[in-house]
Amino acid sequence: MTTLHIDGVAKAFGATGVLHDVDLHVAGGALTAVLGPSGCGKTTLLRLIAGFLPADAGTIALDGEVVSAPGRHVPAQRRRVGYVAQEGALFPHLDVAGNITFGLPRRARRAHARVNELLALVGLDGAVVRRYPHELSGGQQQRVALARALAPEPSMVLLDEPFASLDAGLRQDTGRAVAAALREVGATAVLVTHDQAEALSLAGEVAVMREGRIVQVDAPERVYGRPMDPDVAAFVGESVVLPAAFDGAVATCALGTLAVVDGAPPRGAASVLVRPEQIAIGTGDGVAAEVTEVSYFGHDAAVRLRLLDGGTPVVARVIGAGAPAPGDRVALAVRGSVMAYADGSAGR
Amino acid sequence: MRGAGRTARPFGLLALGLPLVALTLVPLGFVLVTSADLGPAELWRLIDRPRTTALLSNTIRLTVSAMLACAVLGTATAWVVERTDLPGRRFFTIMLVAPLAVPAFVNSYGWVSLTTRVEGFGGALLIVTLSYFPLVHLPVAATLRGLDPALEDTAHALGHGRARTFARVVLPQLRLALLGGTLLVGLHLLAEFGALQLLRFPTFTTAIYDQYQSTFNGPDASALPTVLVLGCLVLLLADLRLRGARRYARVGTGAMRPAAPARLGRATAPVLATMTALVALAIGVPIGSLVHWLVVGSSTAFPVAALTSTALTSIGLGLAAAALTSVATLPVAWLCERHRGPLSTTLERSTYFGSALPGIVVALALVTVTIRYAQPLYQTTAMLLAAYVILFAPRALISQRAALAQAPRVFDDVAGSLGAGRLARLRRVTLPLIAPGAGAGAALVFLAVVTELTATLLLAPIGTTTLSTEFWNNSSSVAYGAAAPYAALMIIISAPATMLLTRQSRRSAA
Repeated sequence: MTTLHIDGVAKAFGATGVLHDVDLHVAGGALTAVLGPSGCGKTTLLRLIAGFLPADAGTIALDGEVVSAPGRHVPAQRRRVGYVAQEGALFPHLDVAGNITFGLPRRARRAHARVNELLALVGLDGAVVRRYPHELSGGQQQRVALARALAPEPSMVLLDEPFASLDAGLRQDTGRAVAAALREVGATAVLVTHDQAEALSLAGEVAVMREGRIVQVDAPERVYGRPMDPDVAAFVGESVVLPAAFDGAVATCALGTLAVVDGAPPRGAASVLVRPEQIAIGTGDGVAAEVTEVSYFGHDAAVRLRLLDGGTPVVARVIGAGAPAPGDRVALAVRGSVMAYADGSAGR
Repeated sequence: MRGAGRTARPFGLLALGLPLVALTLVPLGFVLVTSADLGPAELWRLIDRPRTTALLSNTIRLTVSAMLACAVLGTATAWVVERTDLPGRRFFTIMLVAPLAVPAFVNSYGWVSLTTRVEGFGGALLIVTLSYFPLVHLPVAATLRGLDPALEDTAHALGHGRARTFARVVLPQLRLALLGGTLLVGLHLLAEFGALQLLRFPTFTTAIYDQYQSTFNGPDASALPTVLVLGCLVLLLADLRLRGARRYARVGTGAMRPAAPARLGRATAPVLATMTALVALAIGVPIGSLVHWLVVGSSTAFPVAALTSTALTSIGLGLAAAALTSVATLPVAWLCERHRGPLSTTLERSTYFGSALPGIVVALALVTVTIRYAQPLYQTTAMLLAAYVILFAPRALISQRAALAQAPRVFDDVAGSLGAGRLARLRRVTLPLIAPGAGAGAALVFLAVVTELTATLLLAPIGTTTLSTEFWNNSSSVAYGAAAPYAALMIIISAPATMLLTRQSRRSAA
């Protein structure tokens, strides 16, 4: 199974630097998500890996073979990298079979080799074989695009925001089907996305990107639970950041005295991060607060509160059935330990 | 940042595109050089004469009146067929673009061969308006079709009636289509030769032709084209400014709700009668007149051999010009779509200069240039084809650009990632994708060549007769019956391409 090693890669368009000193290592057979807001350079990174663009500095190696280095640029057609573009980019003049077999040798194209096998792999019915792209739904188009990318048995697969144009329900189903197909063939894959839920739910590892740099690479639960800094924390989920005073392994803040993760706050720690679902709303002991606003989502609800002592605003996530009403006086308690950050660690 | 890569300068493409640009700039260069040779004082002396003033007055009066008439007629008919419940709208939709299949000089022949009362300003205005209003109708109808009716609904909800909504919401959005179409009418009128010559209404273009026939290359032959070209440039610059302001939006997602048609109610009968009368005048008269001469004309003859060979010449010239123009414009279209930048925009725009100039000026320029610098090329088919390329390059270019825009670079990337090299990508992806659009562009060039008169009259080698020149020779010597079969053949050959043009402009709505 193919590994990907990116070391010190940089890219600029004219005077505008887009990628700065990017390192990323992807293990064979893993699905890694590159997660970042639009304009952070993640698509450019993908295009460098695919070979559509030459890098300005650094090296890219597929399975130990250097495909991009100063003075060396292996063109896309010789990298054996599958590419799934935004909105699929199925060739409009070819039907589904023609699209899937595009990358195969001429004889295999004629014989329609592997078409049904690949359609089954991505969870599509054989009936679509003769259809043209405009006769397919968005989700079907993305699945065909993946089948097309997998047909020549590429060393790795790159997916560029493949689900962004699908609507919410379809997005999850298509995402799961695509991830399952990739697992089944054991392909190494890089998925670029700005959707944190998609990255956290589909990938084995998440690389968070910001302003042309990769700031954290970790398992999804660590990216969410142990974010590098408050900015990463806010990007991967809702967060409540409060100033705190530290004494050994405990922090004292507006929500009371809380245990710090791993019992070891960083030097100069000055604030804590609380996830809204850590805040429990009760009636007994706890920090007194008044409910100011409730956004009800069905399965859960976001409750905005104002602490009675000092007026600090916080937000809590509770299951939908137990949500209080605006104006209620409640008591808050924090479950579990919290992350601590030094001042100035955000937004480097 | 996406797609900002691949900044390498495409020198190969530039080299392939330059011959076309150089060729299309020949006529403008000719006018500039000859008027510079004369000098401003001499030029002014030639222009400031009663005859020139009379020609100027005729040309301006006719151009401005016809532009206004076409703007009003084209917008009104577009609104009626697109936004009302008039019975037979499908029929009218076709009939209102059908005049484009009948060259203006054939239309003019249809009228003047029935009655000489259409000679003079009034008749000329009537006939050119009937011939050219589809140039406004088509873009305005396409825009109306692409207009989101939610905007009009919003205006109604804000308390505006139908008339105020049209004036304050619809009309501003039609502005580009309306002005663009009207300017195109103006350019056609400045170039119009055959129709006005038959009606004995002298303008700059007909005067240049007469002068060329009597004294080739007198000083007047330079002064008149200079004024004419100035007029064209004014219209062309206005048009280029409009184009620059235009935004080509990609097709949005989701289907737009179709607009609810306005109910004409008691106005149905008068509107229907007016539209029917319009179609009768614009299509019924020329076609009826043609049929009349075919059937009863005393000079009608069917010299089958001559008709066949003339038709084959026209078709051959049309095919050759279509192929040549397509090959010449493809590098420029590619540059414009795949390597956007000020340089490629300048190259593309410069190809419009040739086509905006009247055929007579283009022909004069080529005659002069070949006599002075390339004598062996004088009176050759090559020069005639060069004139066609200059005159009709934008027709091929616009279609190719639209086709290339539908084949974005991501297809290239995907094909590359699947192992296809540069040539394989061109053969298996890009060419199949742009083939329909490029073919449509070539068909438009073919149509234009088959019905072209002015440049062909001046440039066709001795012994080469086309349908249009043969028609012209007969009809200008009042052999109306003998002219009829040639006109009929011209219309039959060019009708399919006209339908193609209609369908294309309908698809590129808004």
